[in-house]
Amino acid sequence: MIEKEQLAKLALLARVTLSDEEEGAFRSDIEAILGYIKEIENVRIKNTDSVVDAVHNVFRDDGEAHESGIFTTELLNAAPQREGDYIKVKRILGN
Amino acid sequence: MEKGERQTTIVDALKQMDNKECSALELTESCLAHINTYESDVDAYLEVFDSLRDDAKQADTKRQQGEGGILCGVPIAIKDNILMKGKKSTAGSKMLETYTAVYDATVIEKLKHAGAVIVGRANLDEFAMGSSTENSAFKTTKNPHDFSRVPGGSSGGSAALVAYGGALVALGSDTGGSIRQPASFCGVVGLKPTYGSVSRYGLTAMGSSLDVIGPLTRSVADAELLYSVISGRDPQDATSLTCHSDKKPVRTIGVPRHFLREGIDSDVVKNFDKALEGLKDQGYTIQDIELPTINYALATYYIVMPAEASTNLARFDGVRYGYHEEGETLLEDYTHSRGRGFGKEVKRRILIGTYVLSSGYYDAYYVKAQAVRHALRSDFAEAFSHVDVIMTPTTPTPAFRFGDKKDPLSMYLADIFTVPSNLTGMPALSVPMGEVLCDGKMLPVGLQIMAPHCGEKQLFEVGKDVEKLTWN
Repeated sequence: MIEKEQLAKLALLARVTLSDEEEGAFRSDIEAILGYIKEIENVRIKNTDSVVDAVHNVFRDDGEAHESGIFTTELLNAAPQREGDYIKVKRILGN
Repeated sequence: MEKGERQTTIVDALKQMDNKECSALELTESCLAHINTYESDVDAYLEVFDSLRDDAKQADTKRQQGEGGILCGVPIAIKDNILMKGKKSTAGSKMLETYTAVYDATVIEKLKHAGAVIVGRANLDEFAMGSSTENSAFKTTKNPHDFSRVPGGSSGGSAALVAYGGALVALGSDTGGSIRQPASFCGVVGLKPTYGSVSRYGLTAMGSSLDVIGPLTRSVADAELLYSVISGRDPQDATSLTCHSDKKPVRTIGVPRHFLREGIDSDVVKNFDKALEGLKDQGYTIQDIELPTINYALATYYIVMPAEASTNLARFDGVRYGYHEEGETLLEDYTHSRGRGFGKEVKRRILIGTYVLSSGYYDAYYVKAQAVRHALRSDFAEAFSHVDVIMTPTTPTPAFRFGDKKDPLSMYLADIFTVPSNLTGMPALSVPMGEVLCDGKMLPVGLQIMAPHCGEKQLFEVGKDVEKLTWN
């Protein structure tokens, strides 16, 4: 079982609240999963420099992707709270 | 589901439509009839579109005018994590319960261009996280071969409805086995294409270095046809590529016997050995191979995937779109919206991902996992210098019962044979490998074929030979 405080800290970092039921289950689940994935400690890695991936990251050329503003209304319609053409959020800095 | 019922493939259906032996509307009506019969037991669809009959009629008109693409009139279902403009796209999550897609995924654009008729949205594990479709926020899909068993996951809806005839084919997505494992459990064909060969644009992201969209079908030829339509480089997906496949014929099949010793049903091994015998009779050479790092593939996967998923799912903040729940502060808006919008398995993976990426643990987990992933690629590259394809069973067991795998680790072990090709980016195909007797019921199992990057052609070639095998 991982400590209650450790799980609470992790949940805060992950920006999620947990129900009591989840808290109970996760303390043992996470312990077991971490125990399992920890086995990769035992892998001894040989030199693998010669392997080249099939996929390379690429960047597109600069340019006008689309006319400005054509998606604004549609995208704003998905926002839970808005004010005119702005998405509404709570104050970030304290008073 | 009636056994032995011969199910129409899209290759057959297209031929029949070309010869005017059947129409797109008739094909659609037959899917709707199957939906009517089975859907209340199976629960594979989240939505069947109202416009379906009109779309089929339109396809028929196009055909009469000699127009229409190469899939004109073919009924297809779409896993509900692939965006279709103007349609809901929930990813099986309460977080996106009311979300409507504002654009088409590239694969949808391609399907529409080819004339396919989209039947509806298929159920899935929430955000494609799961191996049983029990994690959907909306409904639990049942295996059409036995309603007390899971259809597999996360593309469980897609696999189940292709099996019972709710559409002729479907699209799914595969991050660690999410196309192949349900295909195996439901007795259909499932292709996980080479990473990057099919655009991810418009696919709800889970593990961005692992995710790929692919087809679930009733024949290898259908998978081949669908793959030819949806694949290709896309400027909207920076990691997409054009595959230049070589035409090298397949002679030698590699089998990592050392990896098949523990935790597999003996009946599954029996069918697997029978398949190898049959392929040997067809002229293939079977060769034992070593993949030294493969025993660590699952552990590696369960570091890389949650790390990427926790990062990807950070975008769901209850601010720009999706579920929102008020708190006292902005931070509480985030934690409450995410806490109540996400289900249990999603949260579990976000927490694991956050843990392995957090300062102090990052090197031991994430960095080490990247190194093991690299070593695994070397193992496969070395093996493919001796053999043309590699085979394993797709899953260690046939479909399990609901509630059988209560602890998450035992559920994760269902992915043991499928995750390696996601970690390496190589393509893999699951083809039905007969059935095994389980508690008085015959249940399908699958054979997995893996090939080097862009080796889809080789997979189809061998896959078609596997289809010729008999199992009685």
